[in-house]
Amino acid sequence: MDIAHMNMDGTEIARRDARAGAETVSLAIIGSGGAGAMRAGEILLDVAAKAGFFGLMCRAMGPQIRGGEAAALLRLATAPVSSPDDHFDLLVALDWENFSRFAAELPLAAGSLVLTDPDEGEVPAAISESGARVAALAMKKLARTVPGGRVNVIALAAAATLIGLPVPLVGEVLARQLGRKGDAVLAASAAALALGEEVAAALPPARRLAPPPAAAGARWVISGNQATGLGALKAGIGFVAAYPITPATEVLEWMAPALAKTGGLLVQAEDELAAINMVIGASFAGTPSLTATSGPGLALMSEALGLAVASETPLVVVDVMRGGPSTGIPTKSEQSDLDIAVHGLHGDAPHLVLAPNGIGDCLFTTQWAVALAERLQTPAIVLSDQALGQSRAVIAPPPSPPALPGRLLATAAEADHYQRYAVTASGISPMAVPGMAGTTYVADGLEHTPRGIPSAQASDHHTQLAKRARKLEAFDYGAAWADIEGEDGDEIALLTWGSATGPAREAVRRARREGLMVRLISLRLLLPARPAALAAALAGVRRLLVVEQSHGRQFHKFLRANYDLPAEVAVLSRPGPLPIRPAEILARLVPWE
Amino acid sequence: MSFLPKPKLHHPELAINDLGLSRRDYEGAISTLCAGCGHDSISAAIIRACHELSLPPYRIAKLSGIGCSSKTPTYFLGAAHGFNSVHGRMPSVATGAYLANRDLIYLGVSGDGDSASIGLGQFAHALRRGVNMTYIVENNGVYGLTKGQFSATSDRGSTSKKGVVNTDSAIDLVGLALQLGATFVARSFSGDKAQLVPLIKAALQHPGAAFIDCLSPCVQFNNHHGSTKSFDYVREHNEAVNRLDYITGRDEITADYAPGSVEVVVQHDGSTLRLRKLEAEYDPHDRTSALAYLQERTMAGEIVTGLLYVEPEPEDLHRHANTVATPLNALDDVALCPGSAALASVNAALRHT
Repeated sequence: MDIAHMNMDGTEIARRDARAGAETVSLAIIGSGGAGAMRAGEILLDVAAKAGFFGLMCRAMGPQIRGGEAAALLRLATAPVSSPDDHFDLLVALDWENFSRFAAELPLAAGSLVLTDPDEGEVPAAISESGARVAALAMKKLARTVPGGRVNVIALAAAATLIGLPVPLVGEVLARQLGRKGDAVLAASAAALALGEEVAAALPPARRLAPPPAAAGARWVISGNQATGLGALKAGIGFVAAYPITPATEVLEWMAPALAKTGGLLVQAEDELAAINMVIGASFAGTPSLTATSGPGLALMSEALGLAVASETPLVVVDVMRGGPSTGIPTKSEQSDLDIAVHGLHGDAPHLVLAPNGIGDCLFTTQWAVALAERLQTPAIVLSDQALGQSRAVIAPPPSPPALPGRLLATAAEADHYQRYAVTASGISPMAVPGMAGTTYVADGLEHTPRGIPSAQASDHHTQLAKRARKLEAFDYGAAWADIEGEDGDEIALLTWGSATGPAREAVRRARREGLMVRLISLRLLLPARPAALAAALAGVRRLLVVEQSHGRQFHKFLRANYDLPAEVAVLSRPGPLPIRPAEILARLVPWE
Repeated sequence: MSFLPKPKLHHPELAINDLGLSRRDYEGAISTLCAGCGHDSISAAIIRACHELSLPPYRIAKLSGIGCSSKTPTYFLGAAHGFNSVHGRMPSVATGAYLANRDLIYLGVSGDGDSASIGLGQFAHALRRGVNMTYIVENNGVYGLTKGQFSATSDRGSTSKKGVVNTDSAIDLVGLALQLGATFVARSFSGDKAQLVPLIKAALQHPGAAFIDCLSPCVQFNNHHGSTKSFDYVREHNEAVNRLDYITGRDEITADYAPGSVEVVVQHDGSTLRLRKLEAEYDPHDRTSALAYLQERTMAGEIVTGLLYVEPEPEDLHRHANTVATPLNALDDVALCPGSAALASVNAALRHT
C-alpha cells in the first residue's frame, strides 16, 4: 500500500520528492470569499494543462451568494487523475476566516506543507495537530510592496514554484486573462509573480511534480457540467427548457449561447413542471430535447416523466445531484437521488437511468443518453453530481459513444393506416412528426390502443405495458453499459457508480500495483438493469465491495433488487458532502488480501 | 375510456369548404360528456370555425391537460395532431411544441381547474411569453370529473349543488390575461354560438397569444340556483360589449351599420375583424381601461363578454427569441451544421487560457 511514506519525517519526504519528482501533487488554496483563492486555483489548473500535466480541481464553498468560504482543491499529476488524493501536500491559506467550515475537507499528512500569512491570524489547532509543517509567508505585506500587487498572485507564484510548475507559464496565463485590463495591471501582476517566486525559494520544500509525459497530446480543461452540455450538443439536442438550480445551472449557462450558435434554443422556464413539459412538447414536435436540474427539481418532474413514458416521448433529464433531501446541501455532492431516479415514477414506467463516472464521461454518457432516449422513445435520467459537474479537470479528449440510428420516424407509406403505438417485435413504433398529413395522432398519457385512442381495456393496457418494457429490455446496449478494469481470475471486485468511481478506480490501481488483484466494475447504465452482463463481469469473483456515497445504501439496495451478487459482499456507503478517498476504499480491501 | 367512432356518412348537401372538406371532416369521436354539457357546444363551435376557415386538420395541434374540458379534443378535429398531457401543463407542452415547430396551428383547450388552479403558473407564463396559440378555457366553475368540488373560478358566495357556500375569491382569468400581456382576450358563452364562432376564428388567425374564457355551464354539478355559472345565470347577466364578425381578406363588407358603430380591425395576416359596438364607450385596444371596465362591471354583477382586447400587430415568442422562419424541427443538417468556425468558437469558450 502507498501509505508507507506517512511514517517518514515530512521534510524528508518533501526532499525526496523534490529531487525525484512525484507522480501527483495535491494542493489547496483557501480564503474568505473574494480573496481570489478559486481564481488562483483555476489559473494553476490551466498552467498545469499548458505544461502537459493532467489535473482535477474541486470547489469547496458554502451556500453564500457572495463571500463566505472558498477553497480550490487541486490535484495535479503526470497521468490522468479521477479522484482527489487522500490528503493535501500543500495548503496555502490566504487567510483563516471561516476555516472551521471546511477543515474536514482538507486532510493533511505529516509530509504536508502549510503556508500561512502571519498577519492573518493564528494557525488553527486542526492544522497544528495534523503534524504538517507550517511556514510563514507574509503574502499581504509582500503584495503591498508591489504597486497594484494582489495577494493571490503572490500565493500563486509561491505555490507554482514549490510544486514545480513553470512560473513563466503562470505569467503567460495571467497575461492572457488580464490582457484587456491594460499595461499597468499586467506590470503589477508580473512584478507580484516575480516577487512570489523569489520568496518561495526560501521556503521549506514541498512535494514537487515529476516532469510531464514526453508526448503530451491534446488536453481539455473542462468541467463536468460543460462536458454534459457538450455531449448534449454533440447528440443533436435542439431544445432545452430548464429552471435554474444549484449545482446544475452551469449546464444551462453554458448551453444557452452554444445552442444559439448551433441552431437550437434554450428557454428559462417558470418552474421545473413547465421545463419538463416544454421539453415533452418540443420532443413531440420533432426536436431532440433536454432539461437539467437537481434533486428537488427532479421530484417536481416525476409526474411528467410518467407522461413521457406513457406517450413514448424521448427526452433527457440531467440531474446534477446534491446533498438531500429537500434543499439539503445545494453546493455539495451526494449520490442520493438514485432511489428517486430508479423508483420515483408512478405506475409501471420503464425508463433509462444512466450515470457518468468521470468529468470527461459526462460528455460520453450524456451523448449516449440522448441517443438511447431518441432511439427507444423514452425518457432518460442522467445522474451526474456536484463533484463531477462543478469540478474542472485536465483530461485527454473523451471518446464518443457508439453511434445509434436516430428516432424511428413514420413515413408517408404509413399514411392513413398509421398506428403511433403499433405493437412491434422490438417494441419501438414509428413516431410521426406533427404536421404530416395522414399520420396524425394524439400523444396521450391515458392508456391507449396502438392507434393512440384512449382505452381502459385490460388487453390494451397489458399489450402497451409489455411493449414499453420490451423496447428497453430487448435493446442491445453493447459494451458501454459499464466500465470494467481487471482480468479473468480476479477474486475481488469493486462495484460502484457515478462519481464514486473516481476514488474506486484509483484504489483498484493502487491495489493492483501492490499485488492485490481487484476488478473494477462501474455501472454506466443503471436502468434497465443488465443481470446477464453483470453476472459475466462478476465471473470468478468471490468477494465484492460496493462503494457509493449515500447514507441509505441506495446503490446496494438497487443491486440486491436487480442482481445476483457474490456470497461475500461488503458495503462502503457514506453520505456526502465529503468525497470518498482512495485510502478509505483500500482500507476496506486490505483485510481481504 | 369509451371511444365511439362516428360513421362517415356525408349528407350530399353538406357545405364544402375551400379544401373540399365538409364539417364532418372536422369532427371527432362521439362525445361521452353529459347530455347538454356546455363543452360540447364549444367543440361544435371549434369544428365550425376550423371548417369555415378551411384549415387543413393535419396542420393543427390540439393540446389539453386533464378534466372534462381536456377530454373534448377527442370530440373534435379527429384528423389533427394532438397531445393530451397532464393536469395543468398543457401551456408548457404547447410552448415547447411551438418553439420546436412554429408552423402548426396550436389550439389549447383547458378548464378552470386545469388553468386557474393546478396550472395557473403555466397559464400565466404561456400568455406572458406570447406563445402563438389559441387558448380556450371551458369555464364552468366546478370540478366535473371528480363530481362537484368548487374550482378557483367559482364566485365568492355562490353555492355548490349540495348547498355549501364558496368563501374564496374567484380568479378572473380574463383579468389575468389582460394583465399578463395576452394580445387577444375574449370572453364568451357556450350558449351563444353566434358570438363564439367568430371569436374562435379570429383567435385562430391571431398571430400571438389569444385567450378565450368561455363560460360553459356544467349541467350535472353547477347548473342550480345559487350557482353563478348556470345557464340561467349567465344568460341573465351576460353583457356583451361588442359583436365580432370575422372576415377573411377576400370578403367584402356588405351590411350597413350606423356610422361609428362598427370598427374594422385588420390583423397582421390581412384578415379583417369587424367589431359591432354594443357598448359605445368600450375600447378594445386599451388594456388599462379594459381592465378597469371589467373590474367595474364584475363588481356590478355583470358577466362581460365579447372581444375585450386585441392588438392587431402582436409580438410573439419566436420574435422575442429571434428564431428563423423555418421550424426548428425542419432545420436539416445542412442548415444546422455550423461549420468548423462555429464549432471552433464553441470549443474556444471552453478554453480559459
